[in-house]
Amino acid sequence: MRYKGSLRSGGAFGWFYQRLSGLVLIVLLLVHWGIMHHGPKTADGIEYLDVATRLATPFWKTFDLLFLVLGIFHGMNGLLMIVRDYVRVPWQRGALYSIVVLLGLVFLILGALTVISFQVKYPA
Amino acid sequence: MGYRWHTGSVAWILHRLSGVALTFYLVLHIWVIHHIGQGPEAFNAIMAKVQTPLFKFLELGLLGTVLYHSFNGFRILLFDFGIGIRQQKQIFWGTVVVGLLVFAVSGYGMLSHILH
Repeated sequence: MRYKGSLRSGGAFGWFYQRLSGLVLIVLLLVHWGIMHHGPKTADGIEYLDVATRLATPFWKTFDLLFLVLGIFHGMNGLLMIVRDYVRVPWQRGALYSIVVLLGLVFLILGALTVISFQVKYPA
Repeated sequence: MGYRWHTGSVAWILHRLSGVALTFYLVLHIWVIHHIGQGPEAFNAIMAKVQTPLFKFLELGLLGTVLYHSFNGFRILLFDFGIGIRQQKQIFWGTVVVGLLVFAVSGYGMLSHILH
């Protein structure tokens, strides 16, 4: 497969990105898993302050943003690959591409706004 | 597109199905967690909804899906870099065994929370 660096390529960049982000996502997920299931908790379940105190710090904001960006791009890139492999009719493919990209953008923005703008609100 | 039903092709189809499921989960997860910006009441209310026994049970499915996709993804990565192609089948079953072990240990930890 030759990669010519354009969106009309055979998909080599998407292929490579998927491998690289997948590897990083495994590491980030292990940390996420450890914190959520074995980290400090005030009650039995996960409550506001458990998450809020972390999410208010620059370290975890950065961590969650990286996790979000890699996760969304990995997921949407995967969906695009599936569309490319199975949908042969050009307008159908174009329509599905647009839906996937739109979906990705909406949730990327929603997630990024959540993480970046977050400040702790203490219960009244 | 036709597939021949070998371990590798089944593993590949399952990889794509699990990937679609995980992407769907990610989108829902972002939706649930975005409530944290609305303060403690809103966040605790939605979190109570997704921490019922039913969701805890579904979370086991999430664990299994994540483990499959991670282990199989790692396997694909190895082969793409030309590592272990001759031992494909052994590596496949090896990752299945290790994945099941991790699932049993982590799943037990999650279930024991429900039982308390």
